[in-house]
Amino acid sequence: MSVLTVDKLNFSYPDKKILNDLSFAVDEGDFLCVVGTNGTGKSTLLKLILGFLAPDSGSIQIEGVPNDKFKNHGDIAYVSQKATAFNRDFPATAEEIVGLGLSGRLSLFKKLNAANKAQVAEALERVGMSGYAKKLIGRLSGGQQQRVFIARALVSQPRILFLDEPTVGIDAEAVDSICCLLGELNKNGLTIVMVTHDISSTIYHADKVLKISENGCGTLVSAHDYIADFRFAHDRGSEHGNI
Amino acid sequence: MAFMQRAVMVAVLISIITPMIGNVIVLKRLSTIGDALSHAGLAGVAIGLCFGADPVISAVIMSIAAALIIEFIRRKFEGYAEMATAVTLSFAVGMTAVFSGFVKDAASFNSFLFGSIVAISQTELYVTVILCLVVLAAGILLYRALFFITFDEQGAKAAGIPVGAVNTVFTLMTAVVVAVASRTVGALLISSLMIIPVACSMIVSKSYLGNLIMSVVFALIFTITGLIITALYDVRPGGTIVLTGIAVLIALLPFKKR
Ligand SMILES: Nc1ncnc2c1ncn2[C@@H]1O[C@H](COP(=O)(O)OP(=O)(O)OP(=O)(O)O)[C@@H](O)[C@H]1O
Ligand SMILES: [Mg+2]
Repeated sequence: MSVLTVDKLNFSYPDKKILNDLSFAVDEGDFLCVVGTNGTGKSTLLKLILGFLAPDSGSIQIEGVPNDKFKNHGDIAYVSQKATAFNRDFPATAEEIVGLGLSGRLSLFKKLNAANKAQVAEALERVGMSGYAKKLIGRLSGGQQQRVFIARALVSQPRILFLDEPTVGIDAEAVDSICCLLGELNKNGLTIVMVTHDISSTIYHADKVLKISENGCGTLVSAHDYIADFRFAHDRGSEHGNI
Repeated sequence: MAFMQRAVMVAVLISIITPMIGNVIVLKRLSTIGDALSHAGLAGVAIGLCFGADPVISAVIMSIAAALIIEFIRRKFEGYAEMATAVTLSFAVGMTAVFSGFVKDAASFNSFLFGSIVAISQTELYVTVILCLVVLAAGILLYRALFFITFDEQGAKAAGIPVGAVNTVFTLMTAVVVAVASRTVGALLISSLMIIPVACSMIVSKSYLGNLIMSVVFALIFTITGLIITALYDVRPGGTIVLTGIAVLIALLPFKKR
């Protein structure tokens, strides 16, 4: 079943056309990587899906519901490209930040109960940040902060996880551990849509790749084909190198 | 009730709610909103006194109008919110300057500038008590929503929090608190009562909840100390409360880690 359907999506900023008749579908349990050069509109696509921006034309459906009518906010979670761009002096602990992620599952006025707090502890454990629960978020390193934001996204046990370049600024070892974590979550049924420039560390966990080109059109290929293409281009490149 | 008891009670109530509002506005980098709203309130007082309307009511109306203007401008310039408060502040000062020129009863206008905490009527006490309860309830009920919005407005939106509605409710709450508290602590001082306790709290606190609680504790300490000094030395209460806060902040600053 397709959990996310994007159909003939068009979007422009006042001075620039960004997405051009973009159509693709994500099935339940897919791991989709979205790739493209800087400024092709990958982040914009996520913002459109999440309803922060309104398309010029076309439709977006999440779990079969038009995204502007979608109400099961706990089913989706989002780690933004600028997640770590908050004020360094913001007085909040890692566990408080992760607790905010339960908002999609709770009614507006509800306080976190003991079960919720256990969920928070478990989410921190999953990203390897248990020891930092009571630390101020601004006192953590960039990579540690990014893990906290991933925990915030995971805590509501979403069905679809959107990530915008979650591995930027993280050391190679941590990138591997985050990618493995995402791969494992995906094996357990979580649908993942991830924008990334770091395709080499993600591709082996992914099922599909959406390539967005400079003109705002998209092509969806299987990860298998993407790797084959990549190898082909690479081999040709090295042949030239040998001459 | 004796006037001194009334004064203490109102002062205590106000020092519980102003830092609750202050927390959100400082963390949203809108610290100067209190000044803009209280000056808009002053413009309202001047207009009210000019045209023979109830100055408190015209202050509340002007303060709400200013708050809505700020929220409107803020949405246009995301990330430069302080510009919205600066523009509104200038507008309010301009209005006050023009209309206060026509005010005959200067003493009444002055009582709004510096407050008249020791001359509070029974009715004003009731209004303040009800207002405090409403703000307290809203602050507790909207705790998570306001926390999420101040930290990450887009994330809050993605999680289904009605960000626009919560922001509007909060803005209205701020405007009403500022207008009513101006009457007691004074328009020129209300902003400092919102900001200084939060500044002190941010030096010592280790969590968001802790920051909120400590800012209320600091505000209570400043207010009670200020009132004691007022009773002992016959000085103006509003200014004394604020200066007590500044003294504590200066004492704490060396402990601030960078
Ligand atoms: N608020 C905005 N107003 C006008 N143009 C914008 C705005 N935000 C982004 N753009 C433009 O839209 C294009 C797509 O931006 P977007 O952030 O989606 O790119 P991206 O594919 O995520 O790039 P990157 O890989 O650098 O993150 C860019 O050319 C950018 O200049
Ligand atoms: Mg981007």
